[in-house]
Amino acid sequence: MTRLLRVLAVLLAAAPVLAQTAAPVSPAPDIKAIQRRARQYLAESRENDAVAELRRAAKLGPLDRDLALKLANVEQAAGNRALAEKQLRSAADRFKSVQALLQLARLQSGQGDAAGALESLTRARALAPNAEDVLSASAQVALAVRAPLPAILALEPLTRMCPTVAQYPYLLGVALLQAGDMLGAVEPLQQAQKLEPSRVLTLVALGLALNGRKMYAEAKPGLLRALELEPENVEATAALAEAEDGLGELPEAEAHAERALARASGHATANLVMGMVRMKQERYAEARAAFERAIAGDPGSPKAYYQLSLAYARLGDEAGAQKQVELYQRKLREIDEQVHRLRTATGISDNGGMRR
Amino acid sequence: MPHALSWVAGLLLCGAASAAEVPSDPAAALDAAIAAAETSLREGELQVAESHYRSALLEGWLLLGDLQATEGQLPLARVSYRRASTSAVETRRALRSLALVHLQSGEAAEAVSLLTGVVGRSPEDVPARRMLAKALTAAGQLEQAVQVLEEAHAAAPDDLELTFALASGYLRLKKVEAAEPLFARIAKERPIPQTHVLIGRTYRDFKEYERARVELQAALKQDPSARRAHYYLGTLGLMAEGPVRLEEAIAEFRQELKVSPADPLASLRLGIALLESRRPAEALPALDLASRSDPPEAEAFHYLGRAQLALDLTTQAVTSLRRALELIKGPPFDEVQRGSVHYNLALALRKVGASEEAATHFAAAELASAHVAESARERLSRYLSDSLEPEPTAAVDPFMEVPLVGLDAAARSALKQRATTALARAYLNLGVMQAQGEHFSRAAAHFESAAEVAPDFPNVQYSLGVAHFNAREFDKATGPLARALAQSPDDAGLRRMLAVSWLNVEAYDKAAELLKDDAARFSDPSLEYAYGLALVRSGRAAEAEAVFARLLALHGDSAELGVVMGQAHAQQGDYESAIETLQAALRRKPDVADANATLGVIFLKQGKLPEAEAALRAELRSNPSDLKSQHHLATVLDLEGRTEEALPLLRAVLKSKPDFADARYLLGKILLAGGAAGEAAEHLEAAARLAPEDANIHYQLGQAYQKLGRTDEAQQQFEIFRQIKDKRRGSTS
Repeated sequence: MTRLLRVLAVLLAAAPVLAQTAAPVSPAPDIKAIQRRARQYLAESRENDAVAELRRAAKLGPLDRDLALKLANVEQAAGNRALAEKQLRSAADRFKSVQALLQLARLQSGQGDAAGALESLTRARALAPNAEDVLSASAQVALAVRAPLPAILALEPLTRMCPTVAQYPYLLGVALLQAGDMLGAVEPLQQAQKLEPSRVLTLVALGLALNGRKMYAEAKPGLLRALELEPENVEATAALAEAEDGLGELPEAEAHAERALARASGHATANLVMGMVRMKQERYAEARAAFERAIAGDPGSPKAYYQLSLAYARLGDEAGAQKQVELYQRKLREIDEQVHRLRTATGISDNGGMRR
Repeated sequence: MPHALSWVAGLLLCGAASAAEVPSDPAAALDAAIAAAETSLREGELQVAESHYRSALLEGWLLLGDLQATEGQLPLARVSYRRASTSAVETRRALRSLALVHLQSGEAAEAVSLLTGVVGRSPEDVPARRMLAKALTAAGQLEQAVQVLEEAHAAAPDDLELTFALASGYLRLKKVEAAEPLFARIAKERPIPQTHVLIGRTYRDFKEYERARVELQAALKQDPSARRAHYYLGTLGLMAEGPVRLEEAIAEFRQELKVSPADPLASLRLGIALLESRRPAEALPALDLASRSDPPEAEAFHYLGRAQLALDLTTQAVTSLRRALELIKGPPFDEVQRGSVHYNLALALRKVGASEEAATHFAAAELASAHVAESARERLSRYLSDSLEPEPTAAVDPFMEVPLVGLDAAARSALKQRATTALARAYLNLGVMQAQGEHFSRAAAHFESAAEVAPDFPNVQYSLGVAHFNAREFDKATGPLARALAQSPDDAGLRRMLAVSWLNVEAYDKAAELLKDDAARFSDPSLEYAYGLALVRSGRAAEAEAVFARLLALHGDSAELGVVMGQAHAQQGDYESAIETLQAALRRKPDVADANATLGVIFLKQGKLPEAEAALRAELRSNPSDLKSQHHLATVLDLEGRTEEALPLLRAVLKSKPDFADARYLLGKILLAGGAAGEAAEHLEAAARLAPEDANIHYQLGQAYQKLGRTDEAQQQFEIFRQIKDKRRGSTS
């Protein structure tokens, strides 16, 4: 019995081994073969079969560059962002694929991960410094996070390399406006307008830049044209009000500012104009309220602080006026420094002109 | 004669290659960029490929610019460097090179502006700072130049070349005390005789002759065979006191030649000095040696020719002086020198009896310079002092900064071929990438650049034509497509594309000609239709009818076909059939293009103005950008006396198509009738330029001038009107 038990134990212990050796032979999945099959299916337009094979292969290891990109596209379209990202990172890391990095940046940007997108694009720029798609994507992500300097550094070469594309000088102008460089913004925006004369966005941005340089008479026709094309455009209405105020056309300025505020009560430019109109009408308390709303809408604009200081002064609040003057000067200094940094880095414009 | 200072300084102080030394393969970076681009293309990494192709453009244009600058083609070099500066993200090298071209062209302010930008963006770029200092010097901003050098020197105190430049800057400002310690430091850091020679020459150039002598003698003390020490000593006396020190100079030059027997510069100076001392026989061997320098020097042949002339070796003199003239073509050239060569050549030619040719050279000499009359000694003095004086010319010395000057003409030509081929290839591939993204206009721009650098590059005309065709830029497509067809006359697809382009630019006869023998017409109704349309519009309505009849028989009726048939009827004056056919087409398809437009024109011709207006307005509702219908409508409105409505229509037409002569004419005529003679004249003048054979335009223009009181011009226009009318009468009689 004891012997029998011993034999049984030996048999039991050996059983898995026997089972293994006795089972029919099943070849280990070969990632290369699966990818070959996927390619074959793709060539035969058997999309679903190809995707199934690619997903199988992806579980076994990293895919070839083109197949990784293909699968990333499929996963992205299917809403499987994590899987798409995994494939893109794999292609980017293993093959230094700029296509993968660009796609990854788009994915990250779409998920609100601007820092991640910028990092991917920085890697892409190191690999393809002169590629239009890379520069353009870098600029757009930078603009979206209100980082004008990197945007300008990408857009400046684009305007040189692709001189017929209106989008680039437009974005460059916008970036310079974002940075407070009104003087620098005018030239690219004029260039953009020359390339695309009836683009409302460009007309408005150019109007804003010209207003910023106190060239109200030059700003007005373009803004009128913008409103002809898009009568409900709030930005254009507010900018037109600013130009009219600058030209001393008070009733028109007031009407346009009111129109803009009816649609967007917190609009910074419209409130600023309204405040200035009220100042001229000697309605100082209303002016002060409008300037405060303008500052709330755009805390970076020095002009509103200056105007607010005047309103305080008219209302007899010297301390309030003094505080606003100091804020105005600080904002001005900040912009001056930013523009100086910008010009040093880019060499784009070099003869003064700040946002006031 | 190249000034030696810059390269000597570079060689001595940095251990760098001289300017005459050429990198092992100047096109290596270009080739590498192309190869990398093509690898990336194969891998499917289009952005990387594009980036490399753009790098190739940068390298290619830089190389081409360098080659052009080397050959003295400064305007071309300028264009190339500009192209380089817009090819890729990097601009630094292109702008530096462009600044140098400006400097060489005497446009120092432009150079300063460019280099200020470069230095601002790249403060670490020491060569750019040095060049900026040179540009500022050339622009006469000496203080600022020294300031730039001081800043650069502070940032890179161990850069001896910079130290040398700063010391030279101080000398220029007469701040000898500031320069001295810097030179002393250089001499200490590089304790070799050449350093003393360099410093000696610099002192000499700034007229610090005694300090120069001390340095040159220090060099000789250190090494009695120090190159160029005797040579500069020889020039010292001449520069300080002029030709009275000729003998001393001759002795020093002879000493120099003992050290370096084959030195062409010392030989040339010795030869010149001996010739100016009226010792042509002694001068001859030295000048002969000088004339064998590589690259050959115009001055060596000039003085050799003069020595030969003086020794009655007239035939040889003619040869030498002719060679001098050939060599003097490229910069740096000197009109005085050119005049002198012409003058001496004229003398030699007169001696050999070639009086006619001699007269030409006398005239050229007179033209080139009045200075040829100066005395030999004055000339020597001027030559020795001016040409050895590097300031301010060193800043604009074209040979010193150009990297390819060491290459011979054949090597340069081969390099140019490589550069243009690579550029064409890069542009072509960039164009293909744009075309793949369906950005046809941008693709065409790249193909155009390819065609510009290498018009015969394979596929370039074809690609350009197809890109314009796909961008619907038919007017631009016809040229390249026609050239491509000439290269491949059997390409039926190409022929059809060209025919369609001609059709779209209204060159109907050319379209008809190309489609005439196209066998595919019989199986492709659209092609047959295009042929019929081309026939109708080129005035061959009868032939067209046969084509349309065949189309109708084979493919049935269609609204579009009806329109073209209606047009064919109208062209033959059969307005009744035309109206019937066009209205039938409209019943079949109410928005069929051109039916109402054609009806409008027929009604206009019949004087049925309300009907014409209705038809034209109907056409414009479905086809608002039809400029011809807009113009016809304006004509109808004018005839109805509704000019206020016609005017904005015509202005809009001209905004879209400024070269629309009929619209200009009508606008001018209406304005004139309304009393705006000034503006009317402007439009009528434009119309006359666009359609000079239209008599009516000249008549209206004459009227406008008359109203403006420009009577003579009015008479001229009436005269042109009369001549055109007479010619027409003559041709029809």
